[in-house]
Amino acid sequence: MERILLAMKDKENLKTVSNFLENNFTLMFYENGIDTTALADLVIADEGLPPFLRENAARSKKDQNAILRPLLLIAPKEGISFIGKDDWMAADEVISSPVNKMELYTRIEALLRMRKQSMLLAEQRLLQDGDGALLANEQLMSFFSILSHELKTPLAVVLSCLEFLSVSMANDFSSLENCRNTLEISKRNTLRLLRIINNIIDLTKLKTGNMKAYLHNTDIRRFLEGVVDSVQAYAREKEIKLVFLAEEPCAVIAVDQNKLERVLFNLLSNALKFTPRNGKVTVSVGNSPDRKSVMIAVRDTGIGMPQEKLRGIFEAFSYADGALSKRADGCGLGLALVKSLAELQGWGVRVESKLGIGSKFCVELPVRTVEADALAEGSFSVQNGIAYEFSEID
Amino acid sequence: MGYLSKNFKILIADDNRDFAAMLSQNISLYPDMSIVGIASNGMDVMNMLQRHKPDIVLLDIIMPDMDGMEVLRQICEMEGGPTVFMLSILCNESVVNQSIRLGAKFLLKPIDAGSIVLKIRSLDN
Repeated sequence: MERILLAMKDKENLKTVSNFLENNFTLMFYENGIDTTALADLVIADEGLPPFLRENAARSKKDQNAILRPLLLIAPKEGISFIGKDDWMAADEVISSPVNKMELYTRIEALLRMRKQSMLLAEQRLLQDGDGALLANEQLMSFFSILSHELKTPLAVVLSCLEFLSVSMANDFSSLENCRNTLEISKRNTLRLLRIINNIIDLTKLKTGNMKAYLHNTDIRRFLEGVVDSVQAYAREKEIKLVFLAEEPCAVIAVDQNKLERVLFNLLSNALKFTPRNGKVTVSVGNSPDRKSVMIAVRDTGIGMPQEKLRGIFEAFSYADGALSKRADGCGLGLALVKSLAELQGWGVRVESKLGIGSKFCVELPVRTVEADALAEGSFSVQNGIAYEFSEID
Repeated sequence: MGYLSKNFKILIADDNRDFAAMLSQNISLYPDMSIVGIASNGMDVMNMLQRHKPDIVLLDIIMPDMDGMEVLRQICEMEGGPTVFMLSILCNESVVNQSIRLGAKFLLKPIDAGSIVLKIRSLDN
């Protein structure tokens, strides 16, 4: 029901009009000094408009893009010609006193139609505008749609699994193997959900400056070798050749190991997902010519990406092949996380790609160390191992 | 007598392998329902429609290579085609309106197989 604000001084008018309207509209009553016009679809007033009404009306008449909030003015008993000039200017429509119910309804309906029109026009205008603010709004909507989709997808699967288990147990139906399989599916999807949630939390922490980096001096080559090893099993499953190349010992750099692992994991995960069977993924590490940084590269022989899609590739929920028609690495947060984690520690991240040939992601770590920490040997464990389990593309 | 007398042939079209597998498994628990196939993209849907001639299609809106709405439109152009239930996680007003206008039913995921079965059984034939 539309909301009508009654800002009338004349008590009789007020009583009559509210009686006429109360069954078909939500009525709001003007209380001294409190401007509630923002909540109203239409305002009805009589002579001697409160100043805020006059100001609102004046302001919105100036603004072309404003959405019409109609003001219906009830003329004094003496007649329409007794309306003050200012009130005339502010009003959109005038109705004579005593108020006739039919006429009131006719005017109100016409004014509300005009309001709806102006809403549609404003919406169209803004969408065509290329206005940064509104586009951001649109992107926000899309972000939440995609987010909601990605969170609910694995959840829907888990609910399905639970339904199966409870129905088949109640009816003594299914084979043990079916049940085992169902549990496997439900576990896989729960972990996927967990991973997405972790990604979101981490991204938010990073974006709001709440993420700390705990630095340890680390032998990057050995560290990388460990990460690549932990992923070999999955690569074998997909029949992809996963190669680790390190031609020389690399510098020791102070890094937050968990985050470096996360970055590598995400890049590897992408590479393996987008490379077909019998393809090849190469992880290489080496010192830069000037020895001031260590370069890590993850190269795949996958589908590659067109040049124009590369620009936004590190943004959350960007997909190289168009929004919702295909879902990729656990909802497009993987690369956004890579970028944010890298920025946190001053690492550079770059991508090169050729359609049909493959992609190459590079991470550049400037050489610096911290005092006091000994070489962090043996701490290559996968943090929260469970959360980083790979899962199939849907 | 009458209640379970009709057998329904159902085609599931969803590119989420796990979801499609579980939905198929759950619906198959009901004696009057049989899953004739699972399609994971638009082309497969059209092929399976020709091959199996299902009574019901459970169609996900988002699929690779072919937009669910496009598939719906093609199905609706078929003479004596199946009844379509759009299954989607997202509830976009214009998509819902479009689907309904094309004669499909719209169901929001997550939804349990039992409810889907009830809705299928209560279709006016």
